[in-house]
Amino acid sequence: MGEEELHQLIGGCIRKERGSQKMLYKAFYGFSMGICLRYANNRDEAAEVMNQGFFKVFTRIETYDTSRPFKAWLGRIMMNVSIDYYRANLKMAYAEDLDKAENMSNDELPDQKLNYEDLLAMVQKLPNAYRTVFNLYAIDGYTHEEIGELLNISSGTSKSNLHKARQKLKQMILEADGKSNNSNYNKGMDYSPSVAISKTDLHGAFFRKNI
Amino acid sequence: MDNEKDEELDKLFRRGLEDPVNETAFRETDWDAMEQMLDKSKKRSAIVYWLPIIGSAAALVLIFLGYLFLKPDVVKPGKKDQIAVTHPAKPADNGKTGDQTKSNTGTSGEPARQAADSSKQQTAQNAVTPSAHHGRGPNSRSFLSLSSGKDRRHATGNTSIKPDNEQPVIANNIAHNKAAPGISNDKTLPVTTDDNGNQKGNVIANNNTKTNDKAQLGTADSKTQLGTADANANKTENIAANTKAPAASDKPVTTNGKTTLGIAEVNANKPGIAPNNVIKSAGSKKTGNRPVFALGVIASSDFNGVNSAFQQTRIGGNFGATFSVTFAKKWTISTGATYDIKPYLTNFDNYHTAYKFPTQPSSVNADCRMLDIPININYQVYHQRANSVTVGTGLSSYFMLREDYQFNYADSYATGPAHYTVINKNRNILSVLNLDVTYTHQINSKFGVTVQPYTKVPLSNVGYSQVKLQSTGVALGINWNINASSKPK
Repeated sequence: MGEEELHQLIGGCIRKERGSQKMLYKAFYGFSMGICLRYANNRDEAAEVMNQGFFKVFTRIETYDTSRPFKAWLGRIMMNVSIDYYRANLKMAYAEDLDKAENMSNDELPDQKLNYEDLLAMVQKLPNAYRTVFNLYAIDGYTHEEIGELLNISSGTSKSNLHKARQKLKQMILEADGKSNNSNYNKGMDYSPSVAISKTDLHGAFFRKNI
Repeated sequence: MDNEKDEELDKLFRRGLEDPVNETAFRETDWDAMEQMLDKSKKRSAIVYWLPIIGSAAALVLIFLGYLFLKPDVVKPGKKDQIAVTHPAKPADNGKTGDQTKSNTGTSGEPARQAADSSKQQTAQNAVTPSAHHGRGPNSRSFLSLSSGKDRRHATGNTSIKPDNEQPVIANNIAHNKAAPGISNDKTLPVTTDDNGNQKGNVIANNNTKTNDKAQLGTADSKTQLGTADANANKTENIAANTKAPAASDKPVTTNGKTTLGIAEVNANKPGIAPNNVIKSAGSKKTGNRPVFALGVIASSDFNGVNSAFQQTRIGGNFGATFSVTFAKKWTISTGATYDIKPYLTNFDNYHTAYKFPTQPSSVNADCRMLDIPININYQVYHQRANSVTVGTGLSSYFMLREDYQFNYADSYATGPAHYTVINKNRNILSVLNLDVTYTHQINSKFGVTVQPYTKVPLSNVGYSQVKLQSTGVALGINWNINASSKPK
């Protein structure tokens, strides 16, 4: 999409023209979904988060500075709504995962070609708190201090969560490698596909984290 | 070493995820959901747009009503109160008296019509003179001083005749002037006097003739009757006599044997009494309608539950301020704002959301913080000394400030979100019915304490979760009657 066409669409969005809104939505659907999918548990959640992001875009489009890249502005909004969506869960600790993560080996990463879907599936399998920190640090390039401010956690917690995220991803990659070798992909994998929650865990987390 | 491996891992994911080769395909259903969000926001923004307008209009109405009811009750000598002193008139003008009377009647509404001949003129003189001579009680004096006001009404009908003795003419007109403050519906009805000098009810305009008992009492629909005197000096003297006697007494009506006196007599009766009485009665009447404005603070504790499932209630608390206007003897309108803390527990079946939970929670713990803005009307059913009981009803609007939802799962290992927080998103305008009973104990004229059991019945679903949230509790408060002591003089 050319700059001129983009500006025309933005102008239409400012005038609340539904046609322009849809065209902009379609034009940046893939880009936005790519961000939201990294932070979400699955595609449905990602679509919901993305729509919240586009809602902000459409309602605040007047504030967009046209001298700056639209994609950067849009991407920042998508990232923020993703963080907001899962913010309630971000402070939670996952005690059941810690032991497994600590016992990871330091094996070399297998020289295996993983495609987008494989990598996305692995990231989505991380607990919310780990996934968010990993996304922000490893992919979006934030520092631990910045992440701490964004998520209202300490930089130490950010480092810890990043470490655990990496450990889990390594484990998944190894498992994937094992699967490809043995056609037994998920053997031995015992992580939760999303955040495991129980009453007792919640209470424990609340008391430990004082939230 | 580890750092290098970590960086390698990060790079692997960054390269793979940062710029996906095959972007996710567009789904029309996602856009449909997007459109729904946009449409919903339009409706909401329309409501939000109207809110300040409606609020401003309500405030203006309140201010206007407040001005109407709170403006000082100063009894100004209006035109109807104007009673003039004698206008010196030459005898040569007497022939025109009738005309003058007519014109004055038209302008002042006074019963000034009188037959225009010299005998009538004499009648007027006679009518005046006795009251001037005999009716000099304290009341009549005060009446005279009243009637001498600059802007008081001139009773030219009779007073256009200059008495020979130069004494102030106090005649029918004066009497009428006195009655005027209490008379809102002046009607001029002619009264004739019969041969015996007794006034009869309207011979001329018969149907409208009434005796002036009402006028004497200063009531609202009193009718004043004009004395149309026959050309008979004796008769007029009789009238004068009639006039005189009442002037000295407090009795509002003086009868003359057979017949009831015309209004002229009645009014002449009142000079000393009526002004004060009328003003007082007007004042006291205003006091009865005078609204009482009250500010209050309340704090309450209540049980909150969904769909009347009070076995799952949680106890919440509220505090805030109220403002009320007692606009009639027993009726009060109240509003205000309270900050409500409403925790509740409900089955997940009552929780409504578009989000599809991977595993359905069994129940939801909610903690809602909101502003409750009620508008209620209350009726006083009991009042004795310092204690009163009112019953009230009205509607509340909930402005959700923060909604925290915690999802409870039956299976300890179930997966799904644990929390969801919504901040400052939902408003439910006039969606809750208030029912309350308020006991008030007045400590003094200004302050009172209240105990108010209440219940709030949802008329529609409220909040993000769209639940029928019901509350029942008791509020304690202190009321301050702002204008309790400002009584009219």
